Amino acid sequence: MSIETEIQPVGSPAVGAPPAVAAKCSASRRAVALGAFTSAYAGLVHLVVAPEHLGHWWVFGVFMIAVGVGQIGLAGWVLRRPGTSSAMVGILGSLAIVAVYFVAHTRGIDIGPAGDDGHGGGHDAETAGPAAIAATVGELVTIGAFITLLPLMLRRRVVNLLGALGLGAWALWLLGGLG
Amino acid sequence: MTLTRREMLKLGLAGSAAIALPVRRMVRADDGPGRISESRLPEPFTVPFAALQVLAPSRVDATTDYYSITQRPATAQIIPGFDTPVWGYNGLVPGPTIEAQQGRRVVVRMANALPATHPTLGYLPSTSTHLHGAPSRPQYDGYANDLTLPGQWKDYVYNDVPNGRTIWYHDHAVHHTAPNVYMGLAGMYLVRDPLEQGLAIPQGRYDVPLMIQDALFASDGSLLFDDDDESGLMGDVILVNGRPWPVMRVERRKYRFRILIASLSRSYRLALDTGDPLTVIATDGGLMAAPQPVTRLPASTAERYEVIIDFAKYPIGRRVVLRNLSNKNNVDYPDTDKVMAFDVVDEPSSTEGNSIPSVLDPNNPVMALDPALAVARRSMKLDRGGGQWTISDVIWDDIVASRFRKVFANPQLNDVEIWTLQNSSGGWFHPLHLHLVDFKILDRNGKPPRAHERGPKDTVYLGENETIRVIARFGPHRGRYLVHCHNVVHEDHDMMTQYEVGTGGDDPITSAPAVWGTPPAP
Repeated sequence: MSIETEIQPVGSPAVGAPPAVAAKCSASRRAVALGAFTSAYAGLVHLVVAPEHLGHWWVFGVFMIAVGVGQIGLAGWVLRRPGTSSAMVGILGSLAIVAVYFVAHTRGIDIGPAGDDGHGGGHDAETAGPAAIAATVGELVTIGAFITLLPLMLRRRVVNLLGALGLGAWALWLLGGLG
Repeated sequence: MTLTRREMLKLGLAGSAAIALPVRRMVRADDGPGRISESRLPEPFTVPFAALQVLAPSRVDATTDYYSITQRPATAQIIPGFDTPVWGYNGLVPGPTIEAQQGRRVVVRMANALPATHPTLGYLPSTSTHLHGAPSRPQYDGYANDLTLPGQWKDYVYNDVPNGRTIWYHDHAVHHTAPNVYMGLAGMYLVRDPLEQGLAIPQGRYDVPLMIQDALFASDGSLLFDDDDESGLMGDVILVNGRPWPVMRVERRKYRFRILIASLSRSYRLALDTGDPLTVIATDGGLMAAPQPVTRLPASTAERYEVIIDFAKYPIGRRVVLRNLSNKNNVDYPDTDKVMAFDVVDEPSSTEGNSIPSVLDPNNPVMALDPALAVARRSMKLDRGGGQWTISDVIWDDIVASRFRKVFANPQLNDVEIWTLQNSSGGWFHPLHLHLVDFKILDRNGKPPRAHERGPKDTVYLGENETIRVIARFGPHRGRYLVHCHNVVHEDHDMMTQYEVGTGGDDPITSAPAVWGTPPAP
């Protein structure tokens, strides 16, 4: 049974359902609400910091606005149509944003006008500010919440993938690959 | 549906990496082990003064002195009881002093043997060495993007300094000048000439370079880099020649002190606690026309002033303190109002060079520049915008984005121009430095320059809401040269632009690039 058929829209009671199914639906609704809230919250943070990034380079600013609007839009979509598709988009999208944050604040990203030298050197890793950390926490909670909405086999694969990514990041740090 | 324990573990691996690894960098960069407590700092005037070490040439021939310098990590004992990791020219902080004779060519073989990353900030320490105060050819001028990577070396050729002067060499790598200099990449370079050597001013052991800096230290004795959100680094410890608030033993006679302000950001207003004058005899570009006694000597980063202090008037046993009265927009700490002390301990063992001639160098061509000679007038505005420090709304990244084509000005070779420098922003001062040229200050806020500024200059203190006019002859080389704020934190973020003298000059990046490998003996 796919998640589309399991999850009730938020606010619609699982009238007449057996207790186990009702509990499952209730947990799923909480996950939807939590994931939507943290996604919208991360989106708001991105919109708030967008002007500062626009000042650095317009591409960074536009990226922040797009991310913010996307995250808020995702929250609305998940609330309206909770299901595997919206959950997977939320997970992959949030994961992509966390990945950008991780690289930007560990290795640095070699794009934009602030190239460090005339020979093609890259940007330094930025200091992770409170806003960036706050948004990332929101995205991680979003991922965690939406994972619980996935069908079992897909959920297992996604969790294993995230575990491998985390293990790889820590291994890279231990080997000195993160500077 | 909730997460299982195994799922939590796997997600925890990912989540902890995503949060902790970037934050770890922030903690290392901003907080480190925390500032050392004041009780662990030495009392002012308890550490003995140390003269700077002089570097002997590796080889000398009929026309040229050859030097070898390796930038490498080392450990210095700055705060008693602590080892401080530093980067030094030949492992020394401050770097060894080069003593050159005007007219002789100098070749410095500069190797970068620094580690792959800065110990706390984590960047790759590329370097570019600027001989500040020398009209070097573009490829030897320490152009910010003419980088020498760890494992590379480069020959810097200097043969253009027109007269005796106190100058210095320091790192100038794009976006990393402040932390590189802070780690120790700065040294003095004295050029002597027959005029200066023939004057009866203090020479030899009575001619003493003073490199003044400030620093913050962590509780483990390491240097703490806190640039206050890119506004500047203001240390609570004043260092002279790498020693905190040292005390120097002096004889009852005149001494010549070659003062270099090598702080990253702090400016000073020097004064003797006796109220007696410091007699300024030379500025950045060499001797003044006549000595200028001042009771207060404002000096900002990269400025050099040669002053004579006469200790003959004090009895043996008297301590004279060189104080810092500070300037607006510094961040002051309890002991940053003191620089060093002089203990008068003996009668003079020599009376040679024990005078202050009334005429020093009346023929410096820069000081003869007349505004009527100017063929162009330009205005330069120093400001803050878009989260960056700007020069006439341009930042260095704009220059990089233009593939180094964008220039602030394009004077022709030997043109005389008047530049108006304006700091319209409140809350900041900017020591502005022009590479290549010496200039004369025409006026400060419409008034004549201050007494201590009436000599050839290459860096000028531009206080908040101040406007200064300077005049210069642009040469002796064609090519692109930097103009920047010498609060090097501002320079790094990103208050730097360039001008080009004439056309067809040597390219500062490609004409003499660094090469890989171990440098052979010069």
